Amino acid sequence: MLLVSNMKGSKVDVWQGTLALMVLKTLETLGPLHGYGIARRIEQTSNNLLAVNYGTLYPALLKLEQEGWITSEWGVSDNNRKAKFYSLTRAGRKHLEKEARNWEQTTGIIARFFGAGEPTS
Amino acid sequence: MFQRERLDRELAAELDSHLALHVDDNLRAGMPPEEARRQALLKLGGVAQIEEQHRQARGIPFVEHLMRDVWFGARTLRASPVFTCVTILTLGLGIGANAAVFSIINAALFQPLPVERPNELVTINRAGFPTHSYPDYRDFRDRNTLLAGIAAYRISPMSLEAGGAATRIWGYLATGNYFDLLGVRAVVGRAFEKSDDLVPGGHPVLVLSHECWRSRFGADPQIVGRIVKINGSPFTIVGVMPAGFRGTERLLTPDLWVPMMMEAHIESGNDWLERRGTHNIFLLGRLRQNVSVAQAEASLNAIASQLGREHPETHEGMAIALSPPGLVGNFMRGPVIGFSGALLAVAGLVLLLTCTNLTGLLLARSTDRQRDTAIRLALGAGRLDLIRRSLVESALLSMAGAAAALLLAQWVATALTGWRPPTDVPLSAHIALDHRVLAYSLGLAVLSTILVGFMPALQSTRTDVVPTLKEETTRWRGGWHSRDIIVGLQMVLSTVLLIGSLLVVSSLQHATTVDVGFNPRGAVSARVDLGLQGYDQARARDFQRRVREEIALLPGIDSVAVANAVPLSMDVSTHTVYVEGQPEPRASDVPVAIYYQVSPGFFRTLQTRLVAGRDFASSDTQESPRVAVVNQAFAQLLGSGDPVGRRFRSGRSGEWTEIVGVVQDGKYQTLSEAPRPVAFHSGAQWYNPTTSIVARSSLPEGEALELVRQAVRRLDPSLSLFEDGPLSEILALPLFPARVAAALLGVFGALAIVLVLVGTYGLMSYGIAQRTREICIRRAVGASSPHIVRLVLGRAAVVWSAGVGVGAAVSLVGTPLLSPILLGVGPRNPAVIGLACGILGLVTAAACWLPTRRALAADPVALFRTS
Repeated sequence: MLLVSNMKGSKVDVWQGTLALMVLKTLETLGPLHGYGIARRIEQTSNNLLAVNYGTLYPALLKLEQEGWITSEWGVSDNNRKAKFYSLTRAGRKHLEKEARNWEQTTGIIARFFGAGEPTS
Repeated sequence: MFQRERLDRELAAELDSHLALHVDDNLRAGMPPEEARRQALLKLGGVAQIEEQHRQARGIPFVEHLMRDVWFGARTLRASPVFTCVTILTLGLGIGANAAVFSIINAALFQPLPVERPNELVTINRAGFPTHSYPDYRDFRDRNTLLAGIAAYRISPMSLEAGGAATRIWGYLATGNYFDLLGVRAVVGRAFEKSDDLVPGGHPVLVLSHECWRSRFGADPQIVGRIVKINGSPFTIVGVMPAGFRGTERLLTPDLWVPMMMEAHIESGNDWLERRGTHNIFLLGRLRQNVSVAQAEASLNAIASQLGREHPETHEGMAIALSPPGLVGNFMRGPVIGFSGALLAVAGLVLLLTCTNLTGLLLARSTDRQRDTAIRLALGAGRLDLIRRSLVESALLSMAGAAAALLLAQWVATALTGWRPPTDVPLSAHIALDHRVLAYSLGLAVLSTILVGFMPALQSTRTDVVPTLKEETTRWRGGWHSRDIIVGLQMVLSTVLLIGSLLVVSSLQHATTVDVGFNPRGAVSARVDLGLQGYDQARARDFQRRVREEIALLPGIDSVAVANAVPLSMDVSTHTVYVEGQPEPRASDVPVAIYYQVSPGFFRTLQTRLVAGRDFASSDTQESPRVAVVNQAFAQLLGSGDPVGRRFRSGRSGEWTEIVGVVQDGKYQTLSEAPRPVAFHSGAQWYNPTTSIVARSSLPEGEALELVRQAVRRLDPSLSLFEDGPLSEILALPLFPARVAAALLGVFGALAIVLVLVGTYGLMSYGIAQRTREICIRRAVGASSPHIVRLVLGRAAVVWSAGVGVGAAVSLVGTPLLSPILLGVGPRNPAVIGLACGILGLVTAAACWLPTRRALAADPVALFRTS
């Protein structure tokens, strides 16, 4: 589902919402990170399922910044490259918590829904 | 626009850094450099696409949108110059009236005094009247700990003699620390200091105001050291104050300052420096840092109660209140706030009227542009875009209006600063446009943008796209249209304004015919203060006698008299009355009478009718028994029986005075007062150095006045006359508040009528233009002319009656505010209310005339042919 996400309609929203959550979760786990780092991390944790272009990440980052959930600052990477580092704001952390709860609820419901149809052995 | 470039550059830099990081990783994984870069680019995706997406996510910046709207708005406004000019001028008048009123209030209440750290200054007010005695001042100054210092001042008339000519001016008697406490330094020479104010009569020095230096001494740079005479004694000029400094009273402009220790030379024969019971100086303190007003007030009250214990007979229960300085202590603060409030309310009404009228105009304009709007909507413009565009347009108009308003306010401020009310006291204020006035005007501009722009903006978004584009005229909807409401509102506001202005105008008309108890026409008066000129009692009495003899002999003079003051001037004194043979009333019930000291011939000169008894005669002298002439209101205090021959005492310990005559009642302080008891005492028996000369003559007033001036000059060329002019001129003072109100409300009332005329005309024209089709159909099926007229006028009649009704109701609540200046008319006058409603009815009918004719002339045949 994630792979067909770059099309029109509601799927984009699903994709964008999911991607945003992934970004926020990444920043929560790893702390301040540049765009490239975020992209690599998402790619790795999703077992390379996320085969889209890295570039799509940047409009998403801008959206998150406009929402006030992350802030950015220019800094220097481990190997001495100038890069823009993103970090989670307090509002972003709250939003992430809320979304995580929603997500667990939703997946829980879906799981029970699918699980209910199967024989319990 | 710069914002966009900056964001683009930043994104590019971020993508560069992304690529660099990715290439680094690829190189570490063992790729050759070429391949590493290619893979990184591939993985990133199309840079142009990212940039485009990025820009879309950013949205078009607000500023850019706004700039576009501003340009568009300016273009549309330029396209209709007449509309634009009318709107800007109207708004300029509306906002300008408010800015001008506010600049007056600003000068009287908000502008800080031009001294160092003005916020620390406080006036120390005694409960009752805010003045203190000099011994009290000394005690407060020496005992208090929370004030960095206390200075005292008093404002007095003085006679300034420089280069042979004497002029009456007003100056400060100020303590030596006055300038030091304020932190004001002289621009020429020096200010006087503590050392100048140690010994009574010790240092006859003075400091000039900048204005006095400029106007009376030609801004002479060598002025320091020059000797002038004040009240006959020589004083040395030591310095000149800076131009902005006008003392510590906002509404008075002094000419000079002298040390308080010189008091005996300024007010000779009235030495009050050591009198604890004479409360006549204002105290000004500066708070120490980090001391609050409440703390300082508490500590001063502690001193006040000490004083109460030490001097129980005069200072029992003395209480202190601190206030900001500048309005005769805090004495004038209440009246100033009240007057300002009333002015602001009237100006606010005018702005509201202006706004409703402009709303009407803009609504009409948006109706005109319906097609335009419909096309925009059809092309996909958002409703918010339309509202914003419309608001930007009205904001442009308001801003231009505010600019025009500031020009107007500047003009008013300059005129008012230079203007002097008809009194001898140098009442004036320095009115200037500062950041507060600017902020206030801009605030009003924003407010009027919202008031004026919002309704048309909303209306334009309610355009029905399809019928408008198909050029189907919109149907006349029943129910209330926003334009009806606006004209109704105008009608309400105009009714209130019109009733107010009619009341004031009719009161003014009444005032000019009111019987003041004397005939001001054909008489002249002039005053001289012999005390200020160093006369003692014998010389002054001699002068008062000789000036009468001198003038009486001149050809053309019918009669002449002297008095301490004439009725209806600012100079009013009162004393208590104890009537012989009546039990002494309680202290609070003792009647109070205004009194004058007059020479024989006073009533003949003023043409005040003698009702009983006789006038004063030359046989009434210092040696003969005391006599007085009283007015009819005074005679009523005596109960029944003939007042002539009865005796009274002025004050409990006064001498018995016999009443020898009764004169008609008149007006003494204000034109609206009820009859008040007045006693005229014999000038020969009661000495007063202030001398008013009144003369009646058949000559033109200017010539008669010149004769009086020459006679005084012959007797003593060094005397300076003041308040000299035709007697009718002194009526200008009591009439002054009513005149100002009449002028203001008159202008506003006329404005209201014009606005209603225009508003109603616009309403009717549009309504009929929209209903032409309906009217034609009605005519075609046989409707008669009266039927059509009823149809057309019905709505106007409803709007008129509703508006006038509500307005009259509002005025019933509002006009009693005017009662202090109303004379001979009640604030709730049914005739005036009826007249106002009638005028507005006529105006409405006039406004409907043309549109109705147009409706009657509608030709069904022509209409059906064309559509």
